[in-house]
Amino acid sequence: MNSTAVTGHEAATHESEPGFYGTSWQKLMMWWFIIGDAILFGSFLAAYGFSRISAVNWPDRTQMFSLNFITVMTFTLITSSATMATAVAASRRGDRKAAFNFTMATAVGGLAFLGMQAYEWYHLIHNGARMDTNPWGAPAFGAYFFAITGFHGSHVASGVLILLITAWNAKRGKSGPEGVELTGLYWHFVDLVWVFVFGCFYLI
Amino acid sequence: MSDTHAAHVEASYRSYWIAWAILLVLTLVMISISTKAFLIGGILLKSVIIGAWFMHLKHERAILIWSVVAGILFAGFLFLVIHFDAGTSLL
Repeated sequence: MNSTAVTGHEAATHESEPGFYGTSWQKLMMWWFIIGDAILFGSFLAAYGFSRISAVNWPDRTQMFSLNFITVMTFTLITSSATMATAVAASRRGDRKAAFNFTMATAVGGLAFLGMQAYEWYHLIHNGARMDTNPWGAPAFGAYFFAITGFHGSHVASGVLILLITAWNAKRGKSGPEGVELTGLYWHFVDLVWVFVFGCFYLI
Repeated sequence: MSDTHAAHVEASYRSYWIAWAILLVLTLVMISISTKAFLIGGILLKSVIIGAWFMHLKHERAILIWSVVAGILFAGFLFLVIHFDAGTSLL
């Protein structure tokens, strides 16, 4: 169901009339999905925020994380968002080759991000962080950290898969501008969630 | 809309990389300034840049923009309604 919308096979062959919202139904459904997903992450972060401000000894972020490393992760994801936006523009212009290249570049950025996140998890687990305990303070930290960054990471992982499918379809001309744009919307949303995760865990 | 389409695409290439540069600089500024109010402002500003430019919300109809904003506000509201029980003031 989702894959039809994402690959944009339908969109390439017959774009529907813009309705009340001024977009095709495919794009509107992607937006509805994004709003739902945003509320899901919002709930996670709200629970995290509550636990954090009510905890007596929340772990000190400077003790646990290497901010320089996380900044590189953030740059990677922001850059992949920019290449994705460029892929969408290229696809609209009818430049299939550029659409393919920039979508692939975006997927590489996503994979690099996942690799760095795996390293960060390894580092924290190695230092004793678990879902139910950690050496730095309130035990709830581990559950929130691994659940929220893990949930975001799984979004990145499925995003990479969608990007590869989109790149392949764009190259063969099966995925038109709107198909690439729908993938783009999802990818930018994943970047957007990271802005919040990055801010709430590593900066505040 | 299709008449201005080509010009719009040309302009958008540049605007995406300008948005990219702004996001990178904003990230660096946020790392060096750790006031809570400033960080929250920075997060919201980055969201607006990603939503408006990358996700093309600024080209969409007001009804779609407000539907999205309402969803995000609701997520924030979830935190606001429960945070009083934590016994700590927010800012």
